[in-house]
Formats: sequence, structure tokens, C-alpha cells
Amino acid sequence: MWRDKDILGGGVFTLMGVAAFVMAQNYNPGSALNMGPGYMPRIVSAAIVLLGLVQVGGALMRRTERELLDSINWRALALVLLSIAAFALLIRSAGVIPAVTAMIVIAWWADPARNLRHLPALLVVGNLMPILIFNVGLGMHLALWRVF
Amino acid sequence: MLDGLLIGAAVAFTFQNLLYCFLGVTLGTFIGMLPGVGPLVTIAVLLPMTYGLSPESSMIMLAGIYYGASYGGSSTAILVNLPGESSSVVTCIDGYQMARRGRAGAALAVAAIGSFVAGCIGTLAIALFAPSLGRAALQFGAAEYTSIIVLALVATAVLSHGALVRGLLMALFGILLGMIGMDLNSGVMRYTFGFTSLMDGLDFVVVAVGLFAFAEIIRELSPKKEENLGHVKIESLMLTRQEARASVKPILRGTGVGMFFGVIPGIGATVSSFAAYLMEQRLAKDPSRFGKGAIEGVAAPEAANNAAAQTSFIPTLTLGVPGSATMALMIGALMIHGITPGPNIISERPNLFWGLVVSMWIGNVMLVMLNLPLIRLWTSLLKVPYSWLFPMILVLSSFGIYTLSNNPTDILWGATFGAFGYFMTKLNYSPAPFILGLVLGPMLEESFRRALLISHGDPATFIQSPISAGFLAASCGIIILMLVPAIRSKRANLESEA
Repeated sequence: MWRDKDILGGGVFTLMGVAAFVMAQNYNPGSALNMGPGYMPRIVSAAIVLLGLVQVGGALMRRTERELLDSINWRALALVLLSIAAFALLIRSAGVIPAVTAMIVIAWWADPARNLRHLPALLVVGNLMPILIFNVGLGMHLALWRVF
Repeated sequence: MLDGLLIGAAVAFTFQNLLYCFLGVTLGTFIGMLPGVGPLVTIAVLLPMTYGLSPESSMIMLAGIYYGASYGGSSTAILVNLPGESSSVVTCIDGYQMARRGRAGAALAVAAIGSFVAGCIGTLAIALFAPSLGRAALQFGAAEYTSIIVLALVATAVLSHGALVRGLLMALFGILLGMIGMDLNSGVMRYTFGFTSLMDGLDFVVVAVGLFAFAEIIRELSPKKEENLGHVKIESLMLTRQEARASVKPILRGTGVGMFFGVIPGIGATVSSFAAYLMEQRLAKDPSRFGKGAIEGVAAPEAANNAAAQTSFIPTLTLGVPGSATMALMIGALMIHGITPGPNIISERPNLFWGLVVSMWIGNVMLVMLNLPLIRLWTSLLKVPYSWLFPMILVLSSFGIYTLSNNPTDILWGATFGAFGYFMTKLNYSPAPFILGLVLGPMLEESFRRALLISHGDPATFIQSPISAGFLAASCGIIILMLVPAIRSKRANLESEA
């Protein structure tokens, strides 16, 4: 039952709404005449909790067929996030070429239709494109590589 | 207005701006044809790069991508029965049927001509009505702004996905995340979790790239069966006399429908194309022809979605209230240059406003020339596999975020929102209301606060002003319209169970 999209989604929103509402207690609500920083967060997070509960409640009462969460593509998710993280870690310390190369190799690995013969071309185009756009076209000075 | 158009022509006809207009519409046509890459992703990715351009050039190019995509989207809808983007879904119905009957060329021609006529009339409508709406908007007080923002949020939340609670939840969550950072009035840090990178708030571009580029890539990389696209041959692009006569009125009616829906924040190209299609079906002498290749079923929705794409710039520019996620990105592009759209934009930035208006007309001319004679070239581009596209999108998006503030942490925030967007679409939540909530949230809080301050804390101020009351009534109307069929079908279910 926890895989029902309404129960799962509504439940997540309810929890986030509760958390936001609790955190909003640290902010001064003020009054309607003179709203403080806590006024809107309280209204909005309360509304989220309310609607989240409506969604979960509606799903629990429903007799019709449930719409279940289908399989999450963990492999693509993990590898794409990893490739972005690799880029973020390398771009400043190691420069454009190492960052792009790491990103493309990891992302290529995530592709179910990958072909090893395409990888060199992807690397060349992937490196040239940002260099041409940002360094040449827009005149930014992004270091291509740095020696440690 | 004539002076304005002359100023605009002087801006739009410079070599640089013609070039960016051409770049925009070409890119727009291309990405409109590719399924999985829409105008939202493209604009989100390009947004950081527009920093180096003048505000005029960047708006001209981004707008070109937006309305260019609706031309490209209709070509794939007709030829391979795949809507390249959401506003072309209706075109699939009759367009593909026409193509199967050997009238692909005629369907493409009527779609392009319909879009062109609608684009020209829509541009004229902006030139005519935006200044007066801008003047009317000067009368808008805090209460009116609060209500129109509520309307934009409710309409997007409800209409973008047809799911009331889901849409509202995403919009509210967007508003909540819009509060992250320092509260401008009190200086209190809200929801920063101690991250210094969150003290200035979430950067809208970072979130947009994460939600629309990264999440989309994760979604598209799932293993799926090779789709065999049935390619249709394009013979003559000429319309027969009968076809031409049959499409004149639908094009004009579609334009009217599109212009009307485009101006209302939160409604927009997709809804107006459906509305135009339904209207033609109602008006037709023989409604049974629809779905079997009726040319009216291509002409009217194509005109409507392009007209709506143009007129949706009216509230965006003159009120500063974006009516859709794409329009929110347009505002983001202006904010990069430190320009806040609003009632004064026409008088303060005539070059920007009129230049954009004139460039839209030029862009529509370019699009007809790009799309009709060169259609065979475009269809060969359709075969670019996603394996080649997604690494490039990934690289450009990451550079886009990084060059925004030279801060690698922003890229990680983008990745976080990519994961968030992926999980949310898996649970059937649509990202459009979220991004709109994020943009409109701070505006909503500020105008809500000011409205209550002026009225001494009396909430009746929102219904005492007729304009504000009208916006709120419209919001309630949309919600009720959505609830009524749900209740009815539930009752039908109960009866069938009993």
C-alpha cells in the first residue's frame, strides 16, 4: 500500500509541511497588520499539511484501483548525479577539460544504449563546445586545466 | 504605438538582434521537434549564458526559442504522431490522420500559415493592448497584485496537470522554498539549515536547470524499446482551394481563442489549443470528420497555441506576473540584467519592449521560411539519437550554473533539484506549478503584507476592490470547475457499486 502514488506523495508532503511548520515556530509571526517573518511560513506550511492529508485520506478511502509507483531507475539516477558531482568537484580545482571528461565518461556509462566507439567523439565535442561558447564566444576565462 | 513600432524596428533590425532572433527561432524549431527536449529545458540551460548579451538580444533570442518550439512541435505531431511539446498534442489528432491520407504537406502548410497569421495578429495585439494594460496596471494596488498572483498560481496548479491537490501542493511547496534565505523586512534567516550558500535564497536558474534539464535526463535514460517511427512522405505543400477556404475561419477563430487565453495568467498555449479544437468541433457542420483528418482540427489549435504564446508576454511584461513556467524563466532572464518587469517597463525600457514586439513579427516570418521549404532537412535531424544529445545538455547545463556565480556548490544544488524533480514526476507531480510558486512566492508575500498593512489588518480588502475580487472569484471558479466533474464521477462510481 505504501507504493500507492497518492499515499506516498501526500505522506511526503505532509511530513515536509509538519517540519516546515515546526521550524516556523522560531520565526516571529507578527500580526496581520504587521506581518513578521513567521506569518507566511505558518500559513503555507499549514496548507501543505492540510492538502497532504486530504490526498492521503482520499487515497485511503478509495475503493478503485491504486496507481502504484513504478520502478525507479536507480542506476541512471545515481550515475547522472555522480557525473554532476564530479563536474562540481573538478571544475574549480582541476579545470574545464578534466571536469568535462569525468562528467561525460560517467554520464555515458548511465546510457542504456551506450557504444564505446561513440565515446571519443562525445569527449571531443563535449570539451570543445563549452570552450568555444564560454572562453571564445563570451570571453570568460575558465582555466582549461590546472597542474596540482 | 507607431512611434513605438519605429523604435522597435530600429532595435530589432540591427544585425546583432536579427542574428539572435534567427538563432532563437532555429534552435526553437529544432528542440520543438525533439521529443524530450522542450523550450523550458532549452531556455533554462541558455539562461545563464544570456548574461553576456544585452537585455534586448537575450529576450529576443529566448522568446524566439519559445514560439519557435511551437512551430517545430507541430511538424513532428503531423509527421510522426509525436508531439514535440505539450501544446502540439491536439495537432496530432487530425494532423497525423491528414498525413496518413497523403496530405502531410497540406497539414504542415496549414499549421505554419495558421501559426504565422496568429503570430502576426498576436504581435499586433501586444502592440495595441500591452501599453493600455500597463497603464491600467499602474492603478493596481497590493491587494490586486496579491489576487492576480493567486489566480496565476491556482490556474497553473490546476490546469497544467489536471490534478487539483497535486498541483496546489507543488505550488505551495514552491512558495515555501521561495522563502529560503534572508527575509527582506526583518533580516531573519528562514529555512537556511545553516548553509551559507542558502542565505541569499535559492537561485531560480539553478532550480530550473535541475528540475527541467537534469531530471529530464534521468527520466529519459531508462531502457526502452526502440520506437519505430513511421515516417510519412511529404509530397506537395500546396493546399487545395477547398482546403484553403475551409481553414481561413478556423485560423481566425483559433487566433482569437489563443489571444484571450494567453493573456490570462496560468492558462496558456496548451489549454488554448484544446479549447480551439473543441470549439471547431462544436461549430462544424459534420463533427464526425474530426479525428479523421479534418483540416480545421489542425488550423485552429495551431493558430491558438501560437497566439497564446505571443500574448502571454503581455501579463509577464506589464504586470511582472509570469503566467507559466516558461514565462517565469523569461522574467528570470530580465532579472539577470537587473530589470524588473512591471507597469513601467514600456516607458522606461521602450527599446526592450518594442524591440521584442517587432522581433516577434520578424521571427514569425523567419519561421515560415525555415519550416516550409526546409521541412525535409528538419525531419532528417529528427534522427539525432538521445545518446548524443544528453551528454551535451548535461555539460552545457552544468557550465550554465557554474558561470552564474562561479560557485561549484550551486551545481550540487542543481543536482539535488534534479533528483527531487525525478522523484516528483514519478509520483505524478508536475514541476511547472512548483517553479511558478518559487518565483511568485516572494512577490506574493510582499504584496500580501503590504495589502494588509494598508487595510490595517483587515482581510476584507481583497474583496472590496472589484478587480481583486474578480481575480479571486476566477480562482475559485477554476477550482469549482475542477471539483464538479470529480464529485459527479464519484457519485457515478457509487451508483455503479450499489
